[in-house]
Amino acid sequence: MKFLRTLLLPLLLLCVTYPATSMAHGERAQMPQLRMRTVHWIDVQASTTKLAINEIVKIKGKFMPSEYWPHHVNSIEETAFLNIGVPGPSFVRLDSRVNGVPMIRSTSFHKGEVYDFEITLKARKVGRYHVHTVINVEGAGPMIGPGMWVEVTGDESTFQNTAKTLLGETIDLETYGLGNVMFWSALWFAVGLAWFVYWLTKCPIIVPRFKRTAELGFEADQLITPMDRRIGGIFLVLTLSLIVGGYGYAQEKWPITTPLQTGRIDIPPLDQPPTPISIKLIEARYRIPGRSFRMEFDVINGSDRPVTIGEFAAGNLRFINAKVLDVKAKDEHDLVASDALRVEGAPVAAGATQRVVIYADDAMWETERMTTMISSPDAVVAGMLSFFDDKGGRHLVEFGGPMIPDFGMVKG
Amino acid sequence: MSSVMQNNTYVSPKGPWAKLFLALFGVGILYGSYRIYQNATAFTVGLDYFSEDFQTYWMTLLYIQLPVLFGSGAAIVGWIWHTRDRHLDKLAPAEELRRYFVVLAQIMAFAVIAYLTASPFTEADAAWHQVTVRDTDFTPTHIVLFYFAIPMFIISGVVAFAYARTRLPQFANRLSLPFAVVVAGPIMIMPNLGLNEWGHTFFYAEELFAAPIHWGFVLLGWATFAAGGLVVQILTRVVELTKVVSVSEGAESSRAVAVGVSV
Amino acid sequence: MKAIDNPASVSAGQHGLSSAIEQRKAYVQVDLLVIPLIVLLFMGIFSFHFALLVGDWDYWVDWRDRRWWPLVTPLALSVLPGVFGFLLWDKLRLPLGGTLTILCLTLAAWISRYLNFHIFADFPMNFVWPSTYIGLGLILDCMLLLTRSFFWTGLFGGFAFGLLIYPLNWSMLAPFQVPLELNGTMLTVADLMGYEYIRTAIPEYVRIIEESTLRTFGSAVTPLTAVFAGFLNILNYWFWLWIGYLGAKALWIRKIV
Repeated sequence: MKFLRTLLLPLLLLCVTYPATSMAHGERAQMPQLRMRTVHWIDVQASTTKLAINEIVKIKGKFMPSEYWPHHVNSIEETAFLNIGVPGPSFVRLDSRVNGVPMIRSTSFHKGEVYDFEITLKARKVGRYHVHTVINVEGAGPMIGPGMWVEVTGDESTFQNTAKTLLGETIDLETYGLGNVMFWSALWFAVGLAWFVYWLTKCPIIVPRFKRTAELGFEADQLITPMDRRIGGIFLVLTLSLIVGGYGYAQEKWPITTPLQTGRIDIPPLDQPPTPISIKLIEARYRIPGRSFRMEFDVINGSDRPVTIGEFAAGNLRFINAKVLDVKAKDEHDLVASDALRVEGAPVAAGATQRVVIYADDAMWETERMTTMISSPDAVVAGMLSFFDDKGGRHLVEFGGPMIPDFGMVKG
Repeated sequence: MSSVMQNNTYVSPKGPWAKLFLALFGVGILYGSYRIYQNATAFTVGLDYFSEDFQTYWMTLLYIQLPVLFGSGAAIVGWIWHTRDRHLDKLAPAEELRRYFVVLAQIMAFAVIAYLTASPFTEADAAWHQVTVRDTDFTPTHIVLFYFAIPMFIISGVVAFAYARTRLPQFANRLSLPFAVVVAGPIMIMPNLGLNEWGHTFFYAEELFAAPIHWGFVLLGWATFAAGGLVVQILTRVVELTKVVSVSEGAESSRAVAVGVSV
Repeated sequence: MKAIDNPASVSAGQHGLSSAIEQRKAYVQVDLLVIPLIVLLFMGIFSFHFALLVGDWDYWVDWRDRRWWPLVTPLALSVLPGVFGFLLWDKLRLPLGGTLTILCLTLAAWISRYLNFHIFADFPMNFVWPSTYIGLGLILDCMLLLTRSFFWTGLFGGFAFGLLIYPLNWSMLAPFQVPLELNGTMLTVADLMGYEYIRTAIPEYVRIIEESTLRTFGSAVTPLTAVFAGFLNILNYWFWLWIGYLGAKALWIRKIV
């Protein structure tokens, strides 16, 4: 016991003293290639980062399923569901939409298509939560988007969540039906327990009955008394009556019900002009000692303005070209490197085709475990480039291709 | 034995109630504390295996509990073996009956641990994985369930088995197949983790709890269906040991008790 | 491996308890040890077995559909009543296998649902309550007591066991299938709870519930499923009785092979 005390006391103390913040996560365990080649999340933001119980936070932004979706991973074009990554129902989801269509049930998304989404959450539990957007893909798992810290304060006991049925009744979803469930559960439990107790009144039952049953052999049914049979008959009638009665009661009280609703939702595509810029990846090398990703492209600028690269994003990591964009991390876990993108060979003049080299150098490659890409059996990467013209117009272009690691062992 | 009376008769021994309650109290404290700890820290520092907090608050536990449990399990079983009864042929029936009560008390402790492990802690794992993103094989519910609760389950089964094997003649002279199966089930749950984690890692992305990937556990849980055979083995011998041999009027009345019903 | 059914008695002779009173004391000791032990084992084993075979259908109210829940549940649910029902009846003539095992499951389920799904994972209790099956156990036990036959119990009791799951639970489930509207879509209350109370790793498509077919003739879904479940469960119950018969064998072997 002394040992246990020594072991457990410090742990229990930690429980009490540790701040109640919840990181959502799991994304760092996923293979970097899969994070880079599944869903690109764009401009994801929360309407507020601090709210009280019952208040609303809207998470909105865009996403694009990658054109380089790995063939061995179940496709997002089959079955997918727009979800939220929070630990348990700390919020309730009041609405979620993709291109304006409610996402109550599952759907499918097309690779290469950009979707708008918006999720409306109502705060339910006090705490500080790292809220992630997630798209669950059947057979592939959760595609986790960027996380944002959202702090919920207030009094949980004031939380309210009501709904109005089509029969005109307003119900409290936190407690609806529970009294009825507990009544019937307790009733059945009492009946079952009564049956058990009846047999326990014959105690001691184990050894005497075991002995007698063995002695009587084929005649062991003699152990059953007429009283037992009467009780058995009564319980059988009681049970069947309760089932029939309970069913009748429910039919009477809730005459109108419908089956659980399911089925897929279709989403019409957004009306978007095609991007005038196309790129071809020439080479992608990741230099491990410098945590530096060097990529070389041919950029074909089909627009009528000069463009340069303002941002490179891959696997939720954002590398910003500070000369073009001013983006600051929203919180300590926002995966933004504000000045980590070096661009050579840009801007690309209107109508020109030009070789551009970019360098994305930051320790995030390491801390977010993206460097484990060298241990993948499929060393192909993908990323999203944001091109900006001289008027601030943005063009999103995805690229992908093989990645060559540079271990820093070869000079030159 | 003090309980042996004249003419080879004896009074009924009692079950080891004080020790049993003490053991159950210990188990309760241990499981209860772990549960409180889990409740307080799983959703705060238990969500990201790769965070420093996770290593401090959760992996440390794993590194402590595995060797401690393995060491104490081996020590208890070693002690049971070392102090085995070397003269089982001379065992007095009263003492044998007492030992049956001891082994039943040990199986009771096994049952308490089985319940805690298989119900609240298993379903804590279900609840957890259905609301979070599984990151590695080591999650706050796995560390408790697979590397604490199930080893405890194994130890409690093996202890009862070893006790019977070293102190009860019928279990020492032969091997009870049902008892061996009941104890082997939990033991096999540990290697079956290989299937579980392999499946979750390579081909099973969702957290449907009734999924085929989990059926290996069910199959091994069914090992306890052999408990019936063990009950029969124990009761058969208990019936022999609880015979009344005095020639007083007690013999007659014993029959009425034995039948347990009005005939 | 050589099985020996009757190991030689280790000690024979005149040894024995001194009186019927002492004998009764010994019997009481066994009862006090064995009955709680059985209850705890049933709670543990049944809960484990049921979680891993039925699990989600019993965890979430938005999984209890008309087609799969009433079919899958009895098949998993009648395993322990079969196995331990055989033991308790054949060895002790106690018709408790159905009720006691399911009573234990129910108790364990409420404890776990409250501790894990409500306190730990924060779901409201009305979203994660366990269904009730105690009535089904009672039917099996009463049938066994009245017919004193595993055959008739399987035929009638096993059938009723599968048939009655839905009506037995309807008194609790019905209010959760009242329709409402959310953003232009019709849902049941249960669907709405499933949508609102976020489950990160159980997306909507994981639910294994009824989807209509062109040959689903409206409301025939529930009765058809019930009758099919009843039929399957007759065979299922008999099969698990047989497993119970095997499990109750007092087999001895010479050594671990």
